[in-house]
Amino acid sequence: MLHRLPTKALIIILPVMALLLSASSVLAFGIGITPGKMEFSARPGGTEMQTVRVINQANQKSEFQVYVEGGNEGWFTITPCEFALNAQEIKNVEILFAPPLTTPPKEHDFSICVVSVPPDSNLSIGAGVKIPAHVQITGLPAIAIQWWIASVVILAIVVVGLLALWRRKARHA
Amino acid sequence: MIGKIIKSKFLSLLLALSLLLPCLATTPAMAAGPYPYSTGDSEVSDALGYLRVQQGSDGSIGDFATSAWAVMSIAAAGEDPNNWQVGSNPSIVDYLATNAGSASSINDYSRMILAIVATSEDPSNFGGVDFLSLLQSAYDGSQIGDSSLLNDDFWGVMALVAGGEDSTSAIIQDSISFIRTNQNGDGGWSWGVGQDSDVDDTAAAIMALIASGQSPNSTPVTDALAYIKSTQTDNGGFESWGSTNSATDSWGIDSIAAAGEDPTSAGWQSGLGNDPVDDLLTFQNADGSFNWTQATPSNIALMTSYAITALLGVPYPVAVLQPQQGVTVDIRIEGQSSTVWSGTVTVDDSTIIDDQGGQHNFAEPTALGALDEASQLGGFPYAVQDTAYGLYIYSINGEEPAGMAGWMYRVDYVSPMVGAADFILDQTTPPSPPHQEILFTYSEWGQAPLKVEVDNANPGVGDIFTVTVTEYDDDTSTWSPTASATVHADQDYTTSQDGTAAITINSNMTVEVYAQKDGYIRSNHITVVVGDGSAQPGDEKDLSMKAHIIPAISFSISPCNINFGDLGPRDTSDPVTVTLTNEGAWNLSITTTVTDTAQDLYVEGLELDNVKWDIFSTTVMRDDTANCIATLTVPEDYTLTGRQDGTLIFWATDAG
Repeated sequence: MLHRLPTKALIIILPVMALLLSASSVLAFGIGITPGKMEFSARPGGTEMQTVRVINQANQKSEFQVYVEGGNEGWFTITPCEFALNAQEIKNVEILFAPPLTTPPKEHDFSICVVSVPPDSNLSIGAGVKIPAHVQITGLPAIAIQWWIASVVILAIVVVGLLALWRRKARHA
Repeated sequence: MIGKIIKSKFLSLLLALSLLLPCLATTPAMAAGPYPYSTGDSEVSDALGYLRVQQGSDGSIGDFATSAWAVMSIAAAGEDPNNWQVGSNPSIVDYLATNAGSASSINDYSRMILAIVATSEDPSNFGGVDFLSLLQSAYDGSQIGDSSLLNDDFWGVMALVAGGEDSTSAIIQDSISFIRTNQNGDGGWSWGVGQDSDVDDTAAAIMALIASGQSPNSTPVTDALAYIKSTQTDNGGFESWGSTNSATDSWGIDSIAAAGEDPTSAGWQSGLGNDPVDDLLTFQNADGSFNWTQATPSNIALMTSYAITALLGVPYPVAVLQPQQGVTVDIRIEGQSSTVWSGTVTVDDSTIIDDQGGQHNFAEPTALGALDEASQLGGFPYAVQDTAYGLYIYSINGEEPAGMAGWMYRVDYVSPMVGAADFILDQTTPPSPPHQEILFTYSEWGQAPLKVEVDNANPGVGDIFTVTVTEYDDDTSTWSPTASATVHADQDYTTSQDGTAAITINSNMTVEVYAQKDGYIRSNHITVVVGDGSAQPGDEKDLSMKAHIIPAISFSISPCNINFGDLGPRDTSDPVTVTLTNEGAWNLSITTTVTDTAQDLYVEGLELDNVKWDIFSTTVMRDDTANCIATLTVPEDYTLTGRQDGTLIFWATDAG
């Protein structure tokens, strides 16, 4: 069948081969990143997606990891967070910022870290980039705004009701 | 009283509405609509988004085969795979074309044809490979490929139908007969002759039968659908090797959709009310991708590609090459002082309106119909008059007859014996079909057409290339050299007695070469690219713009590992130089982190530029390099021996 998956043997052999291939020493190891700074802005419960472009500047295939530092790392979803790139290959990584509903409006600073370390022995030297990410959590949560609108509507109805009662009483008087 | 009740009920209604409002406002919009899903539904858009993220700079999504399946899913979603590329890098279609030569099996050819047709490209000439011929050559007179296999017939039939093969052709009919003969008693098919049925191959067989024109109500198809239904599990999916998986669900759904049924309808629900689409969606991850099974997220891009077509209700083949209607010919229209238009048109039936508004319908592809097509493509007007001798081309592009000159036409340089409205392309003679070119000329009767040829259309700068000008003799139907013709290139040249002109151009340039001579019909044009062809005559004043954008932060390190050699407690290593090169647009601030699995050998003992690594920092300016001296001191009380590993990471950030 066209879509039959690799056998278990292949599943085992391929990663081993990949490790063997990547274990050979490289002359230079490098990383390219753009943008060099990021700014996110979202309401609690809202989201903002941005993309980081990662370039393998090494002269052979390298493994990359992308993660967030600065506390509250759970506010970010990174896709993909681990990947391999061939020499000079480029990958767009999506950074989704999604502050929880309960987050108060505030500004925070994080670092989006992109790092690549060769699987060499002794003291391996890796390259990493820390992208400063300034985030702004703005205003009320989306759900709070909806409740605020609902409250205004209820208040308006009560006022209208009271006004009707007052008019009725005034007419009787 | 009644008014009070009404008022009270009105107020109650308002109150109830006001309480409902926030609930309505906070209820998320339900994304899923009725099957099939559309690209606006998150299930599909997220899956497509996942594929986009997976695309590499070479255009690929996953491996070669997965890229072909991805192309089909992209096309099924109504997007142009030619536009799927990372920045200005090759598209996924470019990737397939570049690697077309790596297809080597019958199933490879079939998959490629299905993908190529989905991109609206030509499967008979894609990346220099004629996949249609390769697949057709696998027909042994009764079936496609290996006679012990069935899956190569399923996909082969689908690919041939997609590639425009007539479903009544022997290769399709014989293969369908072979497929039907090997249907198992349970209604299903296997991958091979005599093997047990499985859902994947049964689904493929159903799609092949229906693609070839079999009715969804035919017994083989209904029996096969019944087999697929028999494999349905409580979760709605189709069992394959003991459980359900996204690939089998996807193909099963595809086959149901191919038969014109709704896989979410009651007939496709399990006893617990689940349908196969329900089960397929259980394999979808938060990032939009699909796992193979819950426990095995193998080949996610491939599974995601399968799932997209299934959710969209677009079975294979996702596209079928439409047979070209009409006749395709080149047209050149030579006016009094310049070429009015040249290009290629395809003409079938046509309707011509004369200068009095009369309508003339032609069921066959005529030379006049070709002019009409060219007029629409080129945006130039033409006028015909309805005369006692038939339709007469009176003017083209506003040029009307004067004196003995007017509009005439030639087919493959030959003057036909009938008018343009009566010349049926690829039928009328002379000249003999197939017909290649129609030449409309503003000329006098008897004027001969010129033709130019060059011996090298891509000479180097300073190289000599020769232009030969010949003229057509209507009496002898032969070409002979034209002396004293003017050849237009970077400048004007004159042909010698043998009809040639030797030309040398001493700069990179692209020139249009053509010839003229009084009393003759202007020649064809040939594009000559001199050197890299980077300039054209007259465009020296144009300003070209080019920019190579480099990343904000980019740097490299050499070497990528350090072996400090044999050291013992209290020893300090020889210094090792590490070079940092800033290759980005910004100045870089560099710091380091160290980890090890060597009882803090590197964490405690590594120094960079004579300071401990955790207080080391340096700045590397744009286009600059910095050397950093690393030394390792082994603590006096260090107890481990043998090779010790650690990691030193140089972190870069904007230095401002």
